[in-house]
Amino acid sequence: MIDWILGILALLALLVAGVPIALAMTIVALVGMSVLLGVDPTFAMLGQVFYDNAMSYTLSVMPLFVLMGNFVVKAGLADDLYEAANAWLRHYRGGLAMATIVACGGFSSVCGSSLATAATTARVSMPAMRRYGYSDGLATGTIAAGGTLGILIPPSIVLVIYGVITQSDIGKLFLAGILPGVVGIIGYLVAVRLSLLRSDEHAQEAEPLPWSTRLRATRGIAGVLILFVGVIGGIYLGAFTANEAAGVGAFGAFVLALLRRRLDRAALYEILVETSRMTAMLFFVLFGGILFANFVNVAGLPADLNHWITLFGADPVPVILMILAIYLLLGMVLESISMVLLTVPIFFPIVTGLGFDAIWFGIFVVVAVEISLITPPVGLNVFVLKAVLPEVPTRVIFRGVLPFVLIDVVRILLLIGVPSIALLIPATT
Amino acid sequence: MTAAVLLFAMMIVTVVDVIGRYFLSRPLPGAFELTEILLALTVFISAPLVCLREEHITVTLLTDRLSARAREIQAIVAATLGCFIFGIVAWQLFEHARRLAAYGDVTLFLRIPKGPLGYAMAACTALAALSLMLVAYERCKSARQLIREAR
Amino acid sequence: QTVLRLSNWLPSQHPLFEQTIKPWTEQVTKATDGRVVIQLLAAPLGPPAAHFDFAANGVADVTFGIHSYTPGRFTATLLAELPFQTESAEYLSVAYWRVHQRYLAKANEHRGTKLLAIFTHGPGQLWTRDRDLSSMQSLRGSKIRVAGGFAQDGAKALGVIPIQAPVTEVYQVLAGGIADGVEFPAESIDSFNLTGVLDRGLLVPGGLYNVSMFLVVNAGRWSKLSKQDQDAIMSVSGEQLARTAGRTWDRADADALASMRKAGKIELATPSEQQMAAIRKALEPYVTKTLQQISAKGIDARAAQQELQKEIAALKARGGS
Ligand code: NA
Ligand code: NA
Repeated sequence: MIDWILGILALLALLVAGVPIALAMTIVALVGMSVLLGVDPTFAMLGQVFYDNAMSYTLSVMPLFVLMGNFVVKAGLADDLYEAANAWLRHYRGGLAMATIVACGGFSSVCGSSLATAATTARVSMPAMRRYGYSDGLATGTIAAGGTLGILIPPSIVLVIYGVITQSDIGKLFLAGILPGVVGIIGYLVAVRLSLLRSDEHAQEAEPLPWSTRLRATRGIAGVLILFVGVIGGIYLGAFTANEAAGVGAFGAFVLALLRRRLDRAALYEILVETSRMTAMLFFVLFGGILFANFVNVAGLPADLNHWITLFGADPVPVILMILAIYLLLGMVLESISMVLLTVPIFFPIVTGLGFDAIWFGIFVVVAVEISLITPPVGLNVFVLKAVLPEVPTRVIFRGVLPFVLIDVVRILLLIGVPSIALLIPATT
Repeated sequence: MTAAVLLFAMMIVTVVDVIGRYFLSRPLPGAFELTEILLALTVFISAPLVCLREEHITVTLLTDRLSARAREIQAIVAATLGCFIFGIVAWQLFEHARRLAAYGDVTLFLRIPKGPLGYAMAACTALAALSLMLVAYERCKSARQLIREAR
Repeated sequence: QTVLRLSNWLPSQHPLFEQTIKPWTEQVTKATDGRVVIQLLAAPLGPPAAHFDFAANGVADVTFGIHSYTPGRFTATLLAELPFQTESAEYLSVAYWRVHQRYLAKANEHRGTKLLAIFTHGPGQLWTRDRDLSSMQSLRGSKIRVAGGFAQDGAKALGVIPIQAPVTEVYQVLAGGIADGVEFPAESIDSFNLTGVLDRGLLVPGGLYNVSMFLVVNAGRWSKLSKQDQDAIMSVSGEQLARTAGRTWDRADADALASMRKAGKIELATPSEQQMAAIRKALEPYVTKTLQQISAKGIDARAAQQELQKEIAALKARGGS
């Protein structure tokens, strides 16, 4: 038991010291495994983990969805989405923030990354909210929280990773994410209204737009709609696998960007290089995470956790609540993908052993990870916003996301109480 | 550059496979394996660039609050550590590739030998380690600069 | 006391794990009076295909897996994957172990490990949806998901288009019409829940292919065990374990076929004599090619094949012993 405790402490120390996550996990795993297994086997496993997981068909879904997201950004779909949502919602109280949430939801339906969703939406929605007197807290909080929808509404990189670790059907996971995603949008709309209750909030309603403008703006979302229906509908109908959906989706977004004349050779090259770099970054975190997971596995962490949980009794609900608490705690300091890599191999056997559905747990994990993106002190979505808007203090953004975090917790409790929120759609295929 | 082409090829392979299957009832033979190989090469060929730009995902909780000089030193430590680890990874990928070549492992359908792929991955990782060495060197220079200015 | 770590990549309810591997670990403890204990890791250390290497490199001490998951590496083991051998995984597995010891072991393909058992699943059959299975001609051009090893060649021989897909995605691939069918033993149709997406099964006597599997322990760890413990472990491994594994697969196949017959959703057919002749003729060149590949490893493949068939016949005549 002491082995994995030391390992986790060492990992946290390295992370705080600013060692890149991929490196920190690799180092701790290497040292730990060398102690437990000997140096030769550990090194042999190192080569194999890097080789096998790079040559993985299932994981090819990741760069392709990232590519699709980048084409979608280039095609300017975020602007269209925001314009459409704005046209319908701007004249309500908190309307611009609500439009931001809806645009985030729409954008995340074609983008697999929360960070990309937050960064893109920030660019289009922040100026308008400022113009109408929204406080920086509400405006940035809305974008940071709205961005988290990116990994819940399919496609989703985190769900892909979950699927790979647990050998679950990625297509089913995607379908399971749809309804909780919609619930998430509704929840965030409620959170916007809650934020307006603060006395220092001076958000004004904008003047309503004529119906003709609204309808014209709505036409602009056709591109997103076609992509989403093509990709997720294709998975739903079984016309293609998640991998194929990713390839076809990326190609569709590529064509869309071409048709809109947003793509020349230079832009295409830039997108491809950026996607390759993001892919490499994600994969090295993944390699480190897999090594670290192997280390805690060999060090006996799963067995120890199992033992503690049986002390708790075999009642599923207290166990899942405890796991939720662990996720919220870990989510404060860990980045989303490493969190999934670290925790899922440990919790998955326990949770499925208690009779929870594997697909359901995937959604549970994603919602828990989503929350981690906006909780202090390490909230990646908050940091992304901070990078886009350097003049807004981090503290203000964290205060702004607070109502959204509360709504998130309510949502995950709802998911525990009513599992069919996740399981309804995949069950109909 | 190469990574960009490979990534684009990965997308095209999938699309051709799907179109071939639905419209010509002839899926692209070995699309599965081609995708795997393209993915592996994309990841490893991009690695040196990611290292050179110091883009590895990092928790910046504490490091943001450090002084400029301390931050340089922290970066030097991280890059040196990274160089060391990537060096080991390159070495072990090389060893793994050698084993695969000795076993005569090939891909299932296209019968592409797996050893050379492993060697390519090892070479890219070695380049990544060198990139980090370069980063550490540059960081050392700017740290010295900062110290000189402080005096 | 020696603790050997076993990395298991199967779901813990899978018959092979539950009824063969897990009981075997308990037998090892008993046979060695507790001097050797096999510890099951809570989660696998990597993908199924990596498991031979895990044992060879000492990442895990004991692993089991499928030879054809690492194409190009194992050739001699293709002998057990040839078509038309027997209905019984038990007979095939026991005969395979014996022939392996006598003929195949000298190819030394399990380098770095000590082979504890070698076995196969039941006969691999063809399952389809919306396809006429009554003739070879009607099958031509169908997209069929097949395993590696001999099944790849076999698919070419039958004129079908082999589809590659991870085992976990077979359901989706069939449900969406990406593939028109799959080659599997009957057990897998049940365990992967495919009864709803298939409507026909062609039960070829002795199967169209088979899949060869191993159970190995790291060579270094093995050599450190006392002779007494090695003997004790082998007393519950080798032929005995091959028999248990074969029986497990046979039972699973029988259960699956029985529930298919009861549910009536999958129409089961055996090929007509004429069709069987056509299948034999189509596969024959590939069987010859495979035997040549095995011979290239310095093994008398023809003799090994005849020996395998003789052993199977003898086992059948004696009811398995
Ligand atoms: Na998404
Ligand atoms: Na957090």
